[in-house]
Amino acid sequence: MRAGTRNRLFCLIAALAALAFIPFAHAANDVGSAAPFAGAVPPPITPRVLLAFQQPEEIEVRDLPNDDGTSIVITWRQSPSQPEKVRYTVYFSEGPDGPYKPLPFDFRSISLDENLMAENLQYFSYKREHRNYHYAIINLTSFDESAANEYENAMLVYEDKLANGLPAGPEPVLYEYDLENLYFKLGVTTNGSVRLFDLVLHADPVEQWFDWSKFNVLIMGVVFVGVILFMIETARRKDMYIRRIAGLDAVDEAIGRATEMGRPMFYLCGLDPMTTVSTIAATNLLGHVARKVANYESKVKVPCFDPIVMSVCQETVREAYFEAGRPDAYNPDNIFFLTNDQFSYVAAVNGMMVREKPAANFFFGYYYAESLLLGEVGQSTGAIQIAGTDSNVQIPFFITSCDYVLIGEELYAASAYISREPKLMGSIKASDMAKAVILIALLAGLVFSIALYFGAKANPQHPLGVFGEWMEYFMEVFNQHAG
Amino acid sequence: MTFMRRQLPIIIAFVLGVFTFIIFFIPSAASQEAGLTLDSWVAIISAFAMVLGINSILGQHIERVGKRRPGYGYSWVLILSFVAMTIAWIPWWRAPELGAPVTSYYPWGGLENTTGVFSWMFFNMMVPMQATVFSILAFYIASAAYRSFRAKSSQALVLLVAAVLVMLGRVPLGTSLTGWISPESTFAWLRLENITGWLLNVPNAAGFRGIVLGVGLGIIATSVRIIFGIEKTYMGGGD
Repeated sequence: MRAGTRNRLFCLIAALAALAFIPFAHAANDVGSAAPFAGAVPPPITPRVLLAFQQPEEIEVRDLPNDDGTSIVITWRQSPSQPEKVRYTVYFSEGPDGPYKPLPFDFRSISLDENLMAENLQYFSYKREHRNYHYAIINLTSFDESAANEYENAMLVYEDKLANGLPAGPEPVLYEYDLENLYFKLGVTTNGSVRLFDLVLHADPVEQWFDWSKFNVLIMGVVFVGVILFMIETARRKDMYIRRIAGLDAVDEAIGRATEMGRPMFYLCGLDPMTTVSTIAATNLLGHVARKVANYESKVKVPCFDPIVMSVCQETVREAYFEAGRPDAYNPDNIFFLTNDQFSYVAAVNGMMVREKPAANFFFGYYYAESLLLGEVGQSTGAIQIAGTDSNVQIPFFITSCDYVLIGEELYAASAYISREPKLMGSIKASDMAKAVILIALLAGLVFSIALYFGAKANPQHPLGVFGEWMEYFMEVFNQHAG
Repeated sequence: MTFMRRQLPIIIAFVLGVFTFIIFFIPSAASQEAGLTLDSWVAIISAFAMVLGINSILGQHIERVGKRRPGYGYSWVLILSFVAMTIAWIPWWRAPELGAPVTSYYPWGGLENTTGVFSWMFFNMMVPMQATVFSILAFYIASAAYRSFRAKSSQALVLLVAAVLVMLGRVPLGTSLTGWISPESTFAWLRLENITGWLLNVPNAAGFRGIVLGVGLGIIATSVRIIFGIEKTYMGGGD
């Protein structure tokens, strides 16, 4: 080969080799508003499925209602296009002109049949047409949180490098997003490719002073409180009947048995703190039990799981002894704290049961996995056992191991049942009335559901027309509108 | 004195009860902040109350040791364990330097220092003991189930049959007993997993929801009684 030809061939090979190292700019996407990317390298070609995707109509952004003024919501009508494996996504920019980037925090893309406005009644009123609208909630505080996390991670790496004597570069700086100038674009994505729609979206979040999604709770709460107060007033004037609760009738029997046998009783107030109503109900009942114990000159021991509960129990029992005219018999050492570790508490109480062989055990309040451990050991010692809990998953365990069980609300009614105080009885009656109202609502819901079921057979899109929509709305009023 | 013991707690319960009720409906940041502040107060009070609790349990056991009551040896175990865990917990002797390894400022305490004494005691003594107590539950479930499932009455028989069906329907061996029934056939409902599902989702869920409704109303009624000072037994004294 001649030198000239060889040189030209060498130059050609060198040029081709050099081309491999030149960073080609990806061809700009010439369809729609494909995103200019920053941070993530975009795929060179927008997939055909995204190009063919029909842009949804009525893309809007507004302040998220019923929130603390930190979020906005983007809503849009369902697109007629329904290709598989395509999801909606949201990109953001600090300015209307871009560049638009993926959200800096974890944002799950939305499939074509989820995040429907009709399914989130915390933020949207119930309308049938809302089944055709999607939503995406953007919490603006997440931007700052993600910046703070990124800064923290960068600082850890930076400090680690400094500590190890490695070149660390400039110290990381906390990035502050311009939250007032955040702009968004809705888009569709599949397999890492994205196509953003043209519309630029921007809204300022507004702080709300009333959560309208809880308006039904407020109305029902106020009505119920009114009924309670009314029934309490009524109970002052006339006697009220309350059905027999075997477990509470047995309390006297258990105290009498313990007195006859000369053995102590154990009274447990559960594992929840004083802030829960079941613990308060348990301490209320303790007052009545302690008064009878003081009268019978028997002995009740109250091992406590929580120091505050212990203090309250001490005070309750002390007052009960005073009222019974036996202040000298009160021994504060009988109401004591054990531990606030669940299984250590069980081990300690069970140990005492085995050693002291109590004649009666009372388990009132809220319990967890220890319910059966306590009940079975107490049962093995031959004690008469009465339990009362509103923890519905533990009720079966108490039923199998105890002689009597107060189920759910019976625990709350115990104080009224034992004392027969009119003002307490009134609230029990009010609960019964509320239950009657709920029963009527349940029956109405049942009838409406059946009617809507048959209505949907005739007209799947709008069963029973406006009347059907009203029925659905009625049922949603009683729904729990969680986000 | 009566005011401090009677009226003041009722006033505090009323004011805070109504306040908490109101802020439940206000989503603004200030309202949520107020709710969190109240939670913090509860946590702070609980921390102080722990001193009372420790005083209670240590006082009893020290007295038992002092008076040499039966079983006072166990009281020694409790006192020594308490002292050992407390000393081992002492987290640091000086402020940690920037980037200093955990072991330098948790010389022998703290769960973060996995080679420390406290960590060793926690994971090699506390955790196994807790697990031991918890594992006894398996035996108690067996004994309780045996006692409950004796078909002494028609109700107990229903319970027994339902329990057997549910237990069989939750394990592969049980479901294989009716696996020969085609899921598409008219008799698919006779498959054990379907019977189990119906038992759990219909009668069981109905009873469960009934209890939950009653509990919810009972909680509201009790809360109203406390907020309006109708129920005062929990403060000591009569109704």
